[in-house]
Amino acid sequence: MTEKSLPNWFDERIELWLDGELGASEAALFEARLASDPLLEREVARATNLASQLADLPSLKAPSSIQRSVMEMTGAGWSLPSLPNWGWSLGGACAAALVLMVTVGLRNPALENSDVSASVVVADLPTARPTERQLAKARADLALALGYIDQAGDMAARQLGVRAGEVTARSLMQPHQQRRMESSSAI
Amino acid sequence: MKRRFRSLVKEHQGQLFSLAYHLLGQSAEAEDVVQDVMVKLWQHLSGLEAERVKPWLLRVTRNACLDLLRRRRYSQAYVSQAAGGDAVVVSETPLDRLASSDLGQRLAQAIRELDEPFCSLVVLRDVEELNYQEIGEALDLSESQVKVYLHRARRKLRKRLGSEMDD
Repeated sequence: MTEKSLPNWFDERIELWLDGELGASEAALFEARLASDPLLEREVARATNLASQLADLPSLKAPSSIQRSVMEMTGAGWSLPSLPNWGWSLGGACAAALVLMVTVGLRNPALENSDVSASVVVADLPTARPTERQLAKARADLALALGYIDQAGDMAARQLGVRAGEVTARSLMQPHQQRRMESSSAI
Repeated sequence: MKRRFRSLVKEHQGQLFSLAYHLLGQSAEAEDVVQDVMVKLWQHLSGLEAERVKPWLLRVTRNACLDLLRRRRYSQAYVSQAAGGDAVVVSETPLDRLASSDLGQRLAQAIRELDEPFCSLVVLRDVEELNYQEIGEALDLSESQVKVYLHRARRKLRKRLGSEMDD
């Protein structure tokens, strides 16, 4: 086979030579052979082509779902400053957000003083043209409301987790431990 | 700490996903690996110095991929044995579809078929364009080892692809 006739010494140094990693004396020896050996020339051409093909391989973008899932799993997502009296239930927060969306997000100034029902307001929405300022305010209010919903959801999940932990711990207790816990909580 | 974590996730998720994707050849598995690695980062973040984060992430990602590949090989061997010794067909991967040409597809396949650390070296250096020091830290190799192994990896690829690399 012709490929076997290329000495290993040269074959092993092709990538080194292409990367400029050969010392001066080795590089001179390599280049002298390269000038006269078509086999070495062909292998160098293949190595060069390979390097170019490697450079063309795509570096991939991460799907956005990764970041979202990681933030959910770790609880390290964006959080709002805690509220002074944070005893909201999830349902209450959802209701508040809905009210906010309806009153702020869908309000049409042209109909503000009229006595038309909400359904008419919604039906007229495509023709209503809120100003940029109104839109910006609506977006900000909506973001705030959604943030509160997120926070309420996290809190509800945590409370459920704590309660589940308490129930499990209690079920693992011996009867005398349960009695002692009940009596200490009564005190 | 949350802010630092968010910033690190944003900064490194692409590179980690790309590494996992090239090693595993499957998007869903690569995604799972990166998620797991990021959760581990969250758990270990307080003990990691800033300059150690990137090599730590790359190392943990690579190890997770290698674990997954070992499990996959084991289960494929099991399935193959159960099917009476028939070869398991490896389906086309997303990277194969992404590679723009037939040659690109065969190259992606040839990289995946390299042994370790050659496969990781080619991905980190030639695809992700990390420098030798970063690769060495990620793979626990000296810089000179990185260079030597990388040249061997490219030579293996050149030999494997042979005449397909002729213009």
